[in-house]
Amino acid sequence: MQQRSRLYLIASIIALTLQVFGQSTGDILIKNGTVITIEDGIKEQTDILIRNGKISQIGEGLSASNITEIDAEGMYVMPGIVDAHSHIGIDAVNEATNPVTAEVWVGDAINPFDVGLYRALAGGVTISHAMHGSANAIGGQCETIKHRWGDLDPENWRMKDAPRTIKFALGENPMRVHGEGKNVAPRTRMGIEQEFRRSFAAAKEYKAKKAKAGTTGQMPEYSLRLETLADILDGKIIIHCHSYRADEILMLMNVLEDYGVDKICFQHVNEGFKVAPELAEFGAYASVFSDWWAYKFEVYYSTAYNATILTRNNVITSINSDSRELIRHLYHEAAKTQRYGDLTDNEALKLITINPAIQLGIDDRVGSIKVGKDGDIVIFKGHPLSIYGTPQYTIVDGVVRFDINEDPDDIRVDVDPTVEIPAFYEQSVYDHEAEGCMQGVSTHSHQH
Amino acid sequence: MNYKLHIIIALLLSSIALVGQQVQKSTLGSVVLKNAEIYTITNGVITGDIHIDNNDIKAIGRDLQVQDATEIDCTGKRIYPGFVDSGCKIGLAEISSISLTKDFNEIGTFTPHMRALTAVNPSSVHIPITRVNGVTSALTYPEGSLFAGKAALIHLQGYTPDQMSGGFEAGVLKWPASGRRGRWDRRSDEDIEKDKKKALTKLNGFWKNVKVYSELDGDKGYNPQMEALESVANGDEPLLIEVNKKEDILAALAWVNEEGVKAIFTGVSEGWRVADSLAKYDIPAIVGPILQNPSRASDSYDAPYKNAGLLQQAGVLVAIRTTESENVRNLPFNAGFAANYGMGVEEALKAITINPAKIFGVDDKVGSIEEGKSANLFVCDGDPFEMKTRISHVFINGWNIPIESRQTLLYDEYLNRDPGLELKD
Amino acid sequence: MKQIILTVVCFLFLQIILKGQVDYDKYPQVSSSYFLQDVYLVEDGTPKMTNIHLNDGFIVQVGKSLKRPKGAIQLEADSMYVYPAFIDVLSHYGIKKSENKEKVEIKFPGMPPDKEAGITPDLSAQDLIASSTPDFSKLRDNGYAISQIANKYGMLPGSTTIALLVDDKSKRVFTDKTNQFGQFEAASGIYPATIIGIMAKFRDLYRNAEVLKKNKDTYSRSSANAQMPSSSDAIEALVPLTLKQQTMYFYPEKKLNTLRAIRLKKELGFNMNLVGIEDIAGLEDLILKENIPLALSIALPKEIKEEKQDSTAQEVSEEVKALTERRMKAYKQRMSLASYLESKSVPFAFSLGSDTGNDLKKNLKRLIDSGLTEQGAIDALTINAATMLGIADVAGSVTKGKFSNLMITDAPYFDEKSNIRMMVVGSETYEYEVKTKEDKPADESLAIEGVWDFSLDTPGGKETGTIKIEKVGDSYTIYTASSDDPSDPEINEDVSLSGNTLEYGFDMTDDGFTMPLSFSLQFTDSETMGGSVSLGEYGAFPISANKVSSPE
Repeated sequence: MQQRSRLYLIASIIALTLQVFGQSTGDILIKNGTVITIEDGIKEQTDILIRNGKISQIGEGLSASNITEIDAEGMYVMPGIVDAHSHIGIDAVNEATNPVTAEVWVGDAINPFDVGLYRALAGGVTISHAMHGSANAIGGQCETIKHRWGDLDPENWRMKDAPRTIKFALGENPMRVHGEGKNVAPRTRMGIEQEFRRSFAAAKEYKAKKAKAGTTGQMPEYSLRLETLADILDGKIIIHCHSYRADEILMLMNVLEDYGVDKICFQHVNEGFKVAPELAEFGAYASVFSDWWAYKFEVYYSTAYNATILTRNNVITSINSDSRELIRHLYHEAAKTQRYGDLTDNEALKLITINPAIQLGIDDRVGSIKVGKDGDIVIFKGHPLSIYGTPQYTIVDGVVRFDINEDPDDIRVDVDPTVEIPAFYEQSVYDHEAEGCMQGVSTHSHQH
Repeated sequence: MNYKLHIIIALLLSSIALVGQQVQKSTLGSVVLKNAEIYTITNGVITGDIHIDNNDIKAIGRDLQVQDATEIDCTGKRIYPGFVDSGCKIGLAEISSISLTKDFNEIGTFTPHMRALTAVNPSSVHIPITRVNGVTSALTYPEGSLFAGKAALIHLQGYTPDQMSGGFEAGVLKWPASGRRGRWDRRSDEDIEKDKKKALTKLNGFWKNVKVYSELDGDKGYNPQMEALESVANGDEPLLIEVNKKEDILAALAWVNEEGVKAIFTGVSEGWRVADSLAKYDIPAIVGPILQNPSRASDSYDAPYKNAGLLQQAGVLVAIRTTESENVRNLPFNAGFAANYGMGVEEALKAITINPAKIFGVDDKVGSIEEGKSANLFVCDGDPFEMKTRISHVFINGWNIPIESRQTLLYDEYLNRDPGLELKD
Repeated sequence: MKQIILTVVCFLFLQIILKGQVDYDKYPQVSSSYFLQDVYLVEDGTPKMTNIHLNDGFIVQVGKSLKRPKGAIQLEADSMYVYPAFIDVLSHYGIKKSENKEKVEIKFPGMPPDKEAGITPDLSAQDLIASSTPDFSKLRDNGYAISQIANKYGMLPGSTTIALLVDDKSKRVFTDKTNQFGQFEAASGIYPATIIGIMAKFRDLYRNAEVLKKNKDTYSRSSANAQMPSSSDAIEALVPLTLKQQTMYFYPEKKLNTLRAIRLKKELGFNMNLVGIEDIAGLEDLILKENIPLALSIALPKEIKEEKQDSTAQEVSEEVKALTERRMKAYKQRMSLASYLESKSVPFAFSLGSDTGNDLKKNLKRLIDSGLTEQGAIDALTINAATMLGIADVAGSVTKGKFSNLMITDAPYFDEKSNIRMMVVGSETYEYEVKTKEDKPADESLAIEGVWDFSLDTPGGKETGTIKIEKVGDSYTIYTASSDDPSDPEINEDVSLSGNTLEYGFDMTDDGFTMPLSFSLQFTDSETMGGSVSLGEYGAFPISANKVSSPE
């Protein structure tokens, strides 16, 4: 009998620690904020009502019963920040063994325990594009995740219905990993072009074989890699391509044109400014760093004015992090475009909201404050583009995931009982930048 | 291999050539900056003029009338002393993935005689890109496993290292660390402890010799390793000690006291945990980057933002560093984050102006806007921590620096590219 | 299942082999019928006195009024406690990494041969253990009679075999290619080198096995002169999994990998059991809702003492206090996993993995201290394991008609002082002497790792050599080498320090003559030791040793 009651006690202890933040959508009323809608101007002293995770009303003097209210008087309310290039919250980044690995998918490796995710929330980021790395010409498929910190089920982090995306990479990284590192092609930008051409050709052939199988009854050997590539040809997957130099950007656009593929967002694209008219004409997107350059030769001729030049040439442009450090202050990164160029406040904020949302194919759901969109909101004390702007609340689908007033130091959701005190990490020169695109490839320096 | 090397060198040379294409040159002369809000740092905010005569600030006051001086109207503008990055690699590193362009890490454990000033490249493309953001000076330092070499304070203007020298050099000691070097560092706790102890033994063995060397009289022969640290052992020169983890900071503090070394701690990530001890022993702290990740998974997200402020409030003399090379230009934003997360604007400004000048013993020349000091300053249209703020003029040692860099030139060339798409067919 | 197993077993038991030579050191057993008189049978927690009759590897009858039938050998078990012998759900016992493998030159790391990439579902564990002929005594000594054995290496190491843990090789295996084993073991430097690579490769292989089956079916139906569909050995071997003729025993190793394994199962639709589950704190309910049979690892984290009452210790900061508290909570949650499952009425088993179960009882008792019931622990090792393996109709309890797999102890198993006195495994019996010395906890002040020079006084003169002691987990690996041949040490693994005493032994064979050596070493301190070495029938001789080097 005693044993029984003891068991129940244990059951209840564990049950208590489980699923504390179990709900994934919520209701919230944000009162009296200065609402930066992004697509519909700035609305002073305005309320936002979120019901079941969706923005249900925007207006003055809204009320609702039985609802959590946030007083945003004197604060700025903007859409949750979207990072179009990140590697946090995943346990694997690069399957760097083959120049073409379209079949792998980082969605398999989502890690909701990564404290970097909470730190991103503390910087107002509600959605990040968890990407495969840049070791391969055709890397793996990526995953758009919603930062539901506290929810331990990786499935709940996936943004359901977000379009599929895949990582491509040009230039030095695949050249170094395969050509230099393994002595297999590609070792040059010429070789990289051919990786795309042979892959798309094989995918076309595979599709034809499968179609033929209907008549013979004998299926071709299954290939998850070719299935994925075929999906790219069929327009089901958006390409996000790590790129730097103008020539390689033009090359990929030519290849895609030959195969009738038109969904592409160039990532980093440091020399995008040199071919901005061509990018605009193709309808390609650009997701850039605010000011990173010189960490390798192909970014030596960069300029921090990249985002401005691209924007002024009508290329839909975003600013991304590719770093577990930068993701903590993308609002600050976006603001740098006002030093390096002359973007307006709204243009600068679009770089981290609606534009990355467009690039990920989720602009119907997020990226601006609009009735019917997801209740992804960040509330700032101080203007988000000011150095004195400080995120106060970050809300994902109507659930407060970061609240500066309820922010214990130790926010881990996974505690390893075998570790006495969490390890201390030294900060060396390039440490804060060493964990981007080339993660999992044997190099510790500063390569994106 | 050789072939590859040639390419790299050729490419680098071509980049240097590009710098040479700059149309504008720095100029020196007699300049009056008229009617500005002058943030002197040491004497509050004054509205008035500054007369720069060649290298120095000749006068500060209202309605200065100077014959034959170039006048620059600064109405509605602000003037700040040039910002100082108290720890970075500028001039020592050009392209970080190409090791032959990196000059900050010599082979060997005991290389205190390596001088950063020797390897500073006055033609580094990083320099113009940095100074147009108001950063006029930087402590650029070597890295190593123990005694790495000598850091040097440089001003970001000049054609030779000597012209750039800021008159301060100091040895750098990387304190034997018991933290992990990165997420890839999978050493066991025991191994880390062992490595640390080994390094401590090496440090103490070497240091004992330095001390004995400093006692010797007469001709000591050629012993550059000892010679480089002799003044530190005598207490004449400070030693920069890179140390971050709480336990290591305390250990370094004990060592410094025991050995009577005049120390400046750098890094100091967990300084906030031991701020009182640092204050008690008057150890200046150079912290940063402010924009870095917390050191432990259990630390608050804003611990690195708050570190500088917490140290300052405990009474520590604090300066801020970026540890960067190509992006030393982000120093004002690092200070801005510190300001916003507890340090306050005034103290954060000090941490990149007068505090480093004091720490490096050059506050008679730089770090504030005062008559007689070197003319290191910049003119801008607002709060220099704000990204939106534009910098219109930068003076370094009186040299009026063109607000131009390769990045602005590329902007000018490509904003409206000509031809656009026209020639495509 | 039962039918298949019985057929196989009968076949094995009936085969008569005329060997070329005869060994008169042995004699044949006159009967394979046994009788247990007045034993306490422990079922559903309460010991009941009864008698048991076994014959030819099966339980014939259980009952208090039962009398010894003629021809049955009575086993010395009066007043002892009888349990169904333990069943391990998955181990790698007897599996060795194949050595002297020719180094394969891999030109394209992105497309290595399956074998190099750890993809060998076509390998059978039975073949592997047959070639290495392991001695099963280590598992049996800890109470086990059955183990499902799987190859250890690679992401798809091969098919498993369920083995009866008997020494007689001919009686060992009673099912082969029973199930498949899978884990997230990445290939090093070749594809697949990451978790994401493994997931993709798994899907690819599985879908290809489905395609292969379909193509074969189509081929067999069509009269056209098409080519017989074929594929790689690996894909061929996965077809039974796709047809649910086999179950995938998956070892996820890490917490989040557990969910990844579940994802594969749900996506592809194969049958899966999870083994070696250690820490799934926070994910318990996510995993339980999938109703996947679970086998927990018997390994536990090092014990953490709740409070250090050290008044001399420095003042502990609030932060450290809070961190320690969280760690303690995590530790408790980890330790309560088994009892949590029990409280939710989720049956679970245990799996050994690479362990041999030396700490089984100790760890079970720790789990019991954390809330698991004793019966829950026994069930996990017997009937639940049998159910998971699909052999509950022939094993897992002391029931008429089932295998005569019994563990016999001289006191209730969980008693501090209980000893296993006999193991009955099928038709084989193994008796155990009571250990005269109690297992003392290791003297923790001793640091015995390092290299020791020893000197042994024998009537034939002084023997010298070195003993190298390495710490591996909680136990030691010992390399004993004579000065004559220092490069070829005898290796003893998994030796535990009891108090200040280390005991181990090995056989030395020279020219057909075998001499058993058993060492009993007492450590005076971390630098010196003495003791004795017994040399078979020749008696024991003094040994002394000094440490010459400690590990770095």
